[in-house]
Order: sequence, then C-alpha cells, then structure tokens
Amino acid sequence: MNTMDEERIYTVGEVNRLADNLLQGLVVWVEGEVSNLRPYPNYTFFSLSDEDASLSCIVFRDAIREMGFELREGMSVLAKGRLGVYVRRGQFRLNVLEAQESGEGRLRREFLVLMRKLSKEGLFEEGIKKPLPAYPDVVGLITSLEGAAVRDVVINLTRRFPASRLVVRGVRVQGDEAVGDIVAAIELFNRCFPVDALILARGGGSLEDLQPFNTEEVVRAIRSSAIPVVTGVGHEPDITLSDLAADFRASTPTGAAEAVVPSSPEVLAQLRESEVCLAAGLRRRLHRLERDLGSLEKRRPFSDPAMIVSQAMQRMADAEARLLTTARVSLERKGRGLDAAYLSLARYPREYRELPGRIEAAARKLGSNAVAWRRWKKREPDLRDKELRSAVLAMLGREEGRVRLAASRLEALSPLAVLARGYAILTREGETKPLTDSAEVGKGAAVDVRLHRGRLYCEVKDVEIQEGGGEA
Amino acid sequence: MSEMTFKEMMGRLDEITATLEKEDLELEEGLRLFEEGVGLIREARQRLTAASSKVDKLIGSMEEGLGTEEFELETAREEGE
Repeated sequence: MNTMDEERIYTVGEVNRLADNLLQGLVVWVEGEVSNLRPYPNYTFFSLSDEDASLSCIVFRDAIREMGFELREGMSVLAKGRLGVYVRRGQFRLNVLEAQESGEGRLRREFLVLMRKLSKEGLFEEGIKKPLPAYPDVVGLITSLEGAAVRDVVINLTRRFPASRLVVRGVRVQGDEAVGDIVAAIELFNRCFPVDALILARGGGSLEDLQPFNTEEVVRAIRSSAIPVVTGVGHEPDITLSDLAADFRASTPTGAAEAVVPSSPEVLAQLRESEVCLAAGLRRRLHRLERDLGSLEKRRPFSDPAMIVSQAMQRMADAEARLLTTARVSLERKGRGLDAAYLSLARYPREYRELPGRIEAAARKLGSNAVAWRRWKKREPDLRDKELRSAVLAMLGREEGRVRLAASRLEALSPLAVLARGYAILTREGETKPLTDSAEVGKGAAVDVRLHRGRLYCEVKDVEIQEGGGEA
Repeated sequence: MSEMTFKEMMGRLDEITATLEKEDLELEEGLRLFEEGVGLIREARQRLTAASSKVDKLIGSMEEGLGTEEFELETAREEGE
C-alpha cells in the first residue's frame, strides 16, 4: 500500500489511507494560536493558526492530562504531534501528543515550574533570609546605569542616609546578556568589593523584560551571596523569582533604597535620646555627690561641700581631744589639779587659736565653690567635663592638703610638746599662773620652774625689766 | 574616632549609655564615658547631616582589577527637587 500503482483504481478510503501512509507518522513541533476549540469527552478538536495558515488538530484525553494546562481560544501553543490523515474524512491533521504554552504564556508557565522547583529546594524560605544591617557603611547597587531605577536609588539613598557610601555596578538588565551580567556583578561584590548590603534594581516591565530576574542562575547567585540582597524590581503586582530569593523584597527601586538605609531624622532622634541617657547617667552620679555634700552642709557651722574636708576636721577634733586628755592625765599625775591644765590650754599658741577661724574661712570658700558648681551643672553637658576636674576635684585636693598641714601643726604645737622641745613654764612659788613679764617678780622672789620632766624650785637673783610691757 | 564605622559608633554609644545607666561607676570614669559618648554623638550627627553620600561607580573586572570613579546622575537634579 505504500507505493502507488498507476494502473490501479483506488477506493476513496484507500487514497486517504495512502496519503496517511505517505506521511509515515511524521512528528513535528509547531507553534500557533488556538481557535475553533471543540472539546469532547475523550478528545478535543481545535485549529492552530498563524498569519498564513491553519492546521486541524486533535488531542486525546491522555495527552490533555499530560499537558498540565487547559487549552483556551486565542492561546499561543507550542505543540508536538504526529501528522496524519483522518481516513474517513480525508482530513489532514495533527495528532497532538504534547503541548505547552508559548510566548508570554510560556514564560508564565516556566516561571511557575521553576518556582515550584526552587521552592522545593527551600531557596525561598523565610528562615534562610539574612538580616539587613542597621547602619550600612557601604551599599552596592546592581542595575543599569541608564534609566529611572539607578536615579531612584541614588537620590533616595543619599538623601535618606548621607552617612552611607553607595557603589554602583552597571549591568544590562534586559536581553540575553543580562543574566550573565547580574550573576557576575553579585559575585564581584562578594569576592572583591565587600559591601554591607546589595540592591538589585530594575524598572518595571513585561514578563519578558523581567525574564533575567526569573532565571535559575540569578536566583542561585542571590542565594549564594554572603552579602544580603534587596531587590527592587519593577512595580506591583509583578513579582520575580529574584524577589522571592532576595533577603528583602521591595516593590520598587525607591523602596529598596528605603529598606537598606535608616532615615536620618530617625537616627538623629535616636542620638538625641542617647544624649539624654548620657546626661541622665552623669546627673545621677552628680546627684549622689550632691547628696554627700548636702549631709555635710547640715553640720553647722561648716557649710563645707567636701567629704575630704570633713575628714580633716575629724582628724583635727581628734587631735584636740587627745591634747586635752594628755594634758589632763599628765597634770593630774603631778597632783596639780585641773586648774593648771586649763591655764596652760588658755595660753596655747596663736596658730592653734586661729585654726577654727581658718577652717571656717576654708569652708566658706568651699561653700561658694559649691554654688559655682551648681551653676556649672546647668551648663551644656559637653562643656562640663574639664571644669569638673579642675574646679571641683583639684580644689578639694588643695583644701585637703592645707587642712592636713594645719592638723599636723596643731599636734606639734601642744603645750606639752613645747615643753618637750626644751621650753619651761615659770610660776611664782605655789601659784599656777605662768610668768610672762619679769616685772611680775622682784629680786629674791621664789619661783617654780616646770620642765618637760620634773620641776625646779629657784630664787630670782636679779630682774631686768623690759620697758613698754602692757601687762604688769 | 573618625575611623569607626557608623555601626560601630552606634554600638559603642549603646554600650556607654547602658554602662552609665546600670553600673555604679566612679565619677571620674563616668565623666570619661560621658565625654566619649558626647564625642560619638557629635561625630554621628556630623555624618548624618553631611551634604550627601558619596556615590561611586565600580569599574573594571575581577581579572583586570577593579576601580571606582565618581558617579554622577545627569538628570537627577531637576527631577529630584
């Protein structure tokens, strides 16, 4: 039946079968638009057409199930089928074995297939997304150097957070070369030019325009990036696989810039808050010092702000008490009674008598410094530090040294200590009032001499009177 | 201080405020931290109020070596304002 016999008269059916056989079940791929769609339970008839021609097609139920999409009028389809002739009608047609959408529809379908595959691999999981840095110092931008996207990112990022530096890497974002460019740029930043965050941006476009951002290569490059990647591709409602893979997805280039850097006014407000915290921390410390000073101020008559001075006062009071005790014990042991002790203490030297007055003067000075210190406290916090050191602490140190010196001198000047240095107290015989003027005794008078240790009983051999002595 | 990144500055500032808030420091140490914090705030403000970020273009390739040059937007000014 495969060869023609010119002598023979064929039946219609034989002719059709001959034609069918001549095609030998040729398998072809053909692309066209679906029309004249007539579905039946076990098969569907339709035509594939383009500008020039039309082709009858049949697709059986099993093949329909394999296709994974539903045929619709006007749909672009890429079909694979076996050419043949339907013998009963003599109709030339394509028995469609498999088909897929072509054009935009195909892209959409491929998108879904790839999305499913990569999703199964876990590339879009929220859990693996890297956090964005709070304050990126350097931001990398991968986009076309022409067009609105680069401008939107540059303007918004630099205005929003001038503390960041932006480094732009120009790439093609459309066409066959775009995928390679984008992948290379992501790798380039990761290997040779580390930045804190990467922005992958592109203006909006058709699904075909956005195709590079829907490729497995770009998705994997984004996921392999150690630097967090933020996408700003196209406008809503377009979403790309790159968006799904990115660590953060913004719907526009401007949105990507806003996601990557904080806004200056917000950070400035935060700095203001930190400043308040710092001042409060220091104020608490100063308050504590002030409390200490306050409790000292209550000890009248010393409105003295410094603990240090108070300690010196304490040392002085101790010295005074020790002095009195020593004198009393010593004199009592000599059986001379307390009168003599009071007598000698009433005569203690000038410097000791002046000490209370000097301490009070120092306290007043410190008091006025305390007033100055309170005034200083109200000034700008960042001007205070040096002044505190010089005006308060140094001054307190000085005062402490002065008071310590006075206290040691006081101990040295105890009347008993004076006797120890070789001085003597002279009284008329049997009296306790020390002699200070030679006019108080006459020639031959008996005088008692008290030494550091022991006593002498003497007679005055002669008297020399100093003129102008007030006390007789 | 100017060699610190913005992030480092903000981190150090957080540390200082936390220390000043919680710990019972000597006045001298408190003053030192306060001084450091105020310096950091001043520096951060300065960076935030700078005229604009530096924008560079990354040129070259891994094989030939990389470089940067200043990047300028031709139409940014009038459209941006």
